[in-house]
Amino acid sequence: MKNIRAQFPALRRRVNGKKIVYFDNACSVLKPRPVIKAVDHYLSVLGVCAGGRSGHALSAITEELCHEARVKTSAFLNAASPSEIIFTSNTTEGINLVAKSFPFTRAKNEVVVTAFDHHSNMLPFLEEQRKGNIKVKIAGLDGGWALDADRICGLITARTALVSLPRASNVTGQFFPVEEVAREAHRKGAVVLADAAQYLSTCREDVRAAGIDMLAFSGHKLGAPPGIGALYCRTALMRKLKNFKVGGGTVSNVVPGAGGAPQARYFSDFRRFEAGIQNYSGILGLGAALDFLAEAGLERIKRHTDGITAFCKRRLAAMETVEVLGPGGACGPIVSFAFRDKRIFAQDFNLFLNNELPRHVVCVRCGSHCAIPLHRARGVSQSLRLSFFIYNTESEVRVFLEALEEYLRSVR
Amino acid sequence: MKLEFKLKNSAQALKSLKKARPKEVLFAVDSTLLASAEGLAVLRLAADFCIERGAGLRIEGVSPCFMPGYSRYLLPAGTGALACPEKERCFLGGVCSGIPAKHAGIAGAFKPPPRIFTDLEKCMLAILARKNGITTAQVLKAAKGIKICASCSKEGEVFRAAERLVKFGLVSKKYNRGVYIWEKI
Repeated sequence: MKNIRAQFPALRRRVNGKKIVYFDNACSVLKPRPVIKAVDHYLSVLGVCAGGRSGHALSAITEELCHEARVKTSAFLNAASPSEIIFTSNTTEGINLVAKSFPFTRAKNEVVVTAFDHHSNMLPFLEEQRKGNIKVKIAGLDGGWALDADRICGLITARTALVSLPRASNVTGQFFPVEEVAREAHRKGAVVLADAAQYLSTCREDVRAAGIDMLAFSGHKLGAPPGIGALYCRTALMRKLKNFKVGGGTVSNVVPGAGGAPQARYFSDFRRFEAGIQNYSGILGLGAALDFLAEAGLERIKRHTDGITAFCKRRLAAMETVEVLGPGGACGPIVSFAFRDKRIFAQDFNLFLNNELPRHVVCVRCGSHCAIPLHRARGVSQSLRLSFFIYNTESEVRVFLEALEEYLRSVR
Repeated sequence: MKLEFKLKNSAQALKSLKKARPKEVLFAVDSTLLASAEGLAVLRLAADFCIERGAGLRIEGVSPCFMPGYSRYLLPAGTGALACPEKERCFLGGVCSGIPAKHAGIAGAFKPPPRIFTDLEKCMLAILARKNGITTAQVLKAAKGIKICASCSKEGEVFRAAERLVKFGLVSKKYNRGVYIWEKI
């Protein structure tokens, strides 16, 4: 563990002389040294564009490194080819790309999402609905926290073009039955988009085995710099997507069309969606982050975070004053809870964690975590979320639990 | 430990500070350093070093306009201080005790720093202008009635803005039995 923690320089940081306990990994994980080194390498000795624009030596090296990162990303998801990977800025952009470029038709214009969705997986489709382009159906809760495949599949009809659902909830961490939903969606001629933002830091993904047609994720939740992510899209489907952003790098040619007006001949592959100069330092950082995960071992990370998550949930569940959110069962490294006593304000406890502990500053997330519909559906106004990664320890969770107990004592 | 910060020795002073790693330190700042952006940058580095380590830091002879965000570490200007002519239009006017007498020679350099409040900072100040000395829950409740706060009533942004105002010395927060009380100074 010491070796792992040493890979993350931010953990050595002190705030007002206090140690950092970082439990906001579902927002963004801290960055390991190999990623910092990869980004530094690009900025220090390359700093130029990749792709087919410039033919000089530095550009060729950058292009090779970016291609390597695309190959690694493709292998990470078990995609059929690196050409199925579109680099984006994050999950949100990936999903917006799909919402705006998906070839909806009059006969097939329905999208199914879930009440568990992060705003990023719901708003892009609601926006298209507002414009009158599609109809959005939301798979709701069962009165508790469960959302099984039947509930989602029940909304899939012959008019459904797309089912977009999270791999794991960013509030409760629970997993969703993507495989079952994909089978039903395919049977009805629809495709499946998975929001894997909260899934990939601990779970191995196999898009082909799971029947996922498109998948979006953010690099910064895996250790890459912010501002880089990817959208996996099956080759045949990618060809059907409409243009999203166009410009430099997206065309093979611009020829004189009817009346002499220039007419673009767009690429049919990922290049059509990567307009303009790209975030090369981020792409190389993503490649380094995937290497880091492979070296640390996703199974090992999962075992480690599962242990901490179970410990934290067990201890919180034993406290009468808080309600742990979620259905229990298999989940990612996320624990959210709300105070039962409505006089206790979660934001005050958040400030307490940042200011009042003698030796630590504990970083958690407080609020509705960009999932207001879910909080509203469950009658929870605010929750606190702890989320773990490979560098977190059980003793850090103890620091948090002691702080919570001390806080609750001070309130009484 | 007392450290003299002059323009010509500022780098050396920073080096000594890093070597000594004192638990308590007083920076005594010279006029030559105040007049130099480079010197002030070194002074901020030295202050950050102490703050990060949790060392007790006091800074003598610096007005808030030279180090916005460090108000809580600045000692008052002391006896013989000159009134700053810009105080009325300076956003740090509330926490400024004037120009220390020893800097009278460079009094012209004392001017409001280019600080424009963010919407959320304005929001927090507007809330506290309506009702001062209120709890976190009351702040958020009040935020719902202010247009610029419409998006932040559920999240922590308003308190991150508030913490920045605390850093500038414009707002104070006091913890008492599980509740924070926010007050405009």
